[in-house]
Amino acid sequence: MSISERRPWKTVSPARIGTYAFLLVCALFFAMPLFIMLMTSFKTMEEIRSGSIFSLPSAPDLGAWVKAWSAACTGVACDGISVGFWNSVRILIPSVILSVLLGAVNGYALAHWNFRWAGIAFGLLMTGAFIPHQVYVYPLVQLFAWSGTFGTLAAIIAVHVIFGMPVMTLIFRNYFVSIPEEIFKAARMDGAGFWWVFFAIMLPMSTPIMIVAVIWQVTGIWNDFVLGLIFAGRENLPMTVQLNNIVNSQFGEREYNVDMAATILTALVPLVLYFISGRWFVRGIAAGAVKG
Amino acid sequence: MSSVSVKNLEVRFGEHAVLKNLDIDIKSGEFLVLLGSSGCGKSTLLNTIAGLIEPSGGTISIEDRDVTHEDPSKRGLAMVFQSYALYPKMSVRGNLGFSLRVNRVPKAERNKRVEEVARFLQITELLDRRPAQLSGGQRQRVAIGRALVREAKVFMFDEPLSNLDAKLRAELRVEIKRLHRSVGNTMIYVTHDQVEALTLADRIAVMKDGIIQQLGSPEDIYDRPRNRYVAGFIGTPRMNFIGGELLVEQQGVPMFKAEAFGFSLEGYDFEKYPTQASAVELGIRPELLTIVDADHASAKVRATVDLTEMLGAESIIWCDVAGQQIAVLVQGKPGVKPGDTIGMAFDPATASLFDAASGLRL
Amino acid sequence: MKIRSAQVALLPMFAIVATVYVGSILWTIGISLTPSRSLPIYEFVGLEQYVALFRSSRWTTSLVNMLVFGAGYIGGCLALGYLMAIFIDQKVRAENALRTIFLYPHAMSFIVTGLVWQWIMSPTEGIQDFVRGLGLTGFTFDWIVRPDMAMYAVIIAGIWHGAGFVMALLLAGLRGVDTEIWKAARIDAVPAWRMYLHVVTPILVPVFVTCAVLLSTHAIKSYDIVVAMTKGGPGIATEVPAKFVMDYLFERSSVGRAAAAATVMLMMVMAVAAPVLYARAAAAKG
Repeated sequence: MSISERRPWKTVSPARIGTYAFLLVCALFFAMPLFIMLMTSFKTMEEIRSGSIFSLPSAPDLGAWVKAWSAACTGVACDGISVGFWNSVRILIPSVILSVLLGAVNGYALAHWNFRWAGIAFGLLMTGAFIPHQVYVYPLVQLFAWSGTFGTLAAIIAVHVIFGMPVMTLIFRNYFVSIPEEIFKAARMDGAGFWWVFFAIMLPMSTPIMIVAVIWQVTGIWNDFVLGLIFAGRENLPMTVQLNNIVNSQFGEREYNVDMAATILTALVPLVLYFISGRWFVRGIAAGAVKG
Repeated sequence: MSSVSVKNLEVRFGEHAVLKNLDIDIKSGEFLVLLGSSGCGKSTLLNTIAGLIEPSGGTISIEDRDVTHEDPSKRGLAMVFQSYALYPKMSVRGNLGFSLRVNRVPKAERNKRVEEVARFLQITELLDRRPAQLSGGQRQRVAIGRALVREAKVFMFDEPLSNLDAKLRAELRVEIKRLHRSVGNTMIYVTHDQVEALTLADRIAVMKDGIIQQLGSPEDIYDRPRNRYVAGFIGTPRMNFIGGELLVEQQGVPMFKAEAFGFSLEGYDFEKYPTQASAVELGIRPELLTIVDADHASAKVRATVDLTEMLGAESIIWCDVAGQQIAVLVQGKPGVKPGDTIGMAFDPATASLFDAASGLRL
Repeated sequence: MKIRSAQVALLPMFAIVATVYVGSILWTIGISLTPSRSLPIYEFVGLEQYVALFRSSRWTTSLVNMLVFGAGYIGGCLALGYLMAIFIDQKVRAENALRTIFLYPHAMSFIVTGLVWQWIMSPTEGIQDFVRGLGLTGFTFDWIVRPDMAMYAVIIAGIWHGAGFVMALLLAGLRGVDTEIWKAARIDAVPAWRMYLHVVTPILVPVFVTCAVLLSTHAIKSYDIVVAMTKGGPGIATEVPAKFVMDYLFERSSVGRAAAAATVMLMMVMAVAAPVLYARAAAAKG
């Protein structure tokens, strides 16, 4: 099929120029904040005061990055955003592994071993996914307080597993439902039970959806603010919370270059994931969007 | 000895009974085909025998052992699915050996059995391939191999050929037949394709609405259909049906009487000799009609040629008989042309008579 | 049937659904009917908390702000996202690069989004300062510090974050539209804009609904972006319900009030989601 078959405009017409002009303006709008962040982070405070936000740094200076990483003040302590980075990593890894595995098991059980109650529970879970976290927060705080885990790493991991469950279950269920039932029947004829089918047949087939699920959870958990703020406890505050503390609770003159360096550092994990995963990221968005 | 015996089977999906009061005995080593159009319950029956569907009543025994509540894998059955259902991420070797692995058969023995089966099916060189790298025919062999490895007593096939193109279908049909001859296992084969049924089966069970309409050899089913449904379902072009009346006289043979014509049913083998007149339908297969001159002595019916279809080796002549359409299958070229008036001759002994009300064979 | 293992495997899910997705919601609703302050007091006071809630100007402002934000954010994301999807679908060069640029904000957190736009919109450091520096000394762009405009500043940041997401979904939808209809349109000499308006847009309605539902749950949940960008200010100009609940729970120790506010949020979500869920379920049953 040639290009001209699909669209009537092909030559350099005013419409074509308009198309590119619009897209260019959009691209500038979307790229601008990242550009400004980067430029600002490489400037000295001197330069920021004298120049505009769009000007290029005269001599790239890494001072702000170093300070943001290791010396910026988050409230009382001045150990930089690195503390938050490592907290986020410690929260992220177990949360992602647990929530993805649990989602896979749930999705598989719901897709191929449906029984009464399962459908109802799944429906409630899906409805729960729409409800703002604020509705659950107080009871959860109480539950964790009673169990003595409030403000611990375990608590924040549990919370991420809980709130990741609807989407994880959904995307795995939708994926496993699309696997022909005959494969499942064949495995049962071969004598494979629930876990055999899961580990020997379903899991090896689910690499693509695993990637989608991991991307979804890494991005979601890394970018979380409110859950970390409430449940992680002072010792484990994630990077987003630390970032907000650095930027929004500074005393004296604001160090914009440090703020921007810290902001980029915080955005770095999901951004890198986005740029390397490309199409998978979009697939993840589509998979999560069929919610409901 | 019966290999599979189903008694009083009932399967319900919610309120809807898909199978009701179903009985069937499948003999050891027999090739039984369950034939019917979609929704007739044939796949449900197969899946229930396999244990993949829980019956709501009745019993299933395999090799004289009650397996009604047994796990599918413990019934001594193997199944070849429509899509073949090969495990996509496993090699052919992995597919063949999976059931042994699940049952913790030692690796050495597992390999031995897999290789034996592969040799038997001539797929040894494919053992390390993935299913995606196989052709349709090779996939079928692997699926059959999976059944052979399990040393199952009964092989079940769920429409294994229906996704394939016509040429491959014919080839693989022969291969299944050959397999049956060489391994001699009981085989239950589900299909909606009457050609497959007629060519493969020792016995055919024609199903409709969850009920077995007729169970018999292919010849039986084709020549002596038990009811109007079976008669119409089997055979292409379809059996011709002519509505009329069965007249019974004190002396002499019964007569068939339609509006425009009538003839004696000399030689017809009645199930039960009729004693009174009734409304009937006469069925006669297109290839059993012969075309003669309109005023020939043997002409039982006069007809006008409507149109002709040349199929190569044979031709179909569509005729109009007093407003009813009748097909005649002749060898070679049609020999007549639209508008011709012709006579039709046939032997009443080869026809079928059905009660107009109940549809049962008379 | 080996249903037992499946039931065991689903135990964590059942437990979580029962305690969190059902239990917590009921608990919160229950507390909203009590006079609880910093600790729960289980004493029934009817709808007192709700009455007090709706008498509070901070809450009513929050609600109005949420509606304004929701309308602007959802409308803006859908409009800009659809336009971008349509223009990208014109067989343009550098399609991949453009898509990457439009979507990358979605990978970032609302905290990061809020902080960046706070900096860009700051009158003394950001765009206003830049344009004035170019010589246009009368130029003002100070929405973020003006009580009447601050919410719109947050909306712009929200659109920046979400438009690419809408674009990605709608572009997938556009690519799924039968290419034959474009051939038919050419033969019938129908202009492209008419095709988009009368043929393509109706086909994409389900995708729009999906986007709108997801964006509206974001809008109702919106907390991070406001905290990072304006902290609810200036004054209470950008307060939102989610922030109201958090503040009353953890700073003002007014658990009953917070629960009442959370319950109102819950009902709003249900009002948005229920018709969609119901329609989907009905469609699925066919």
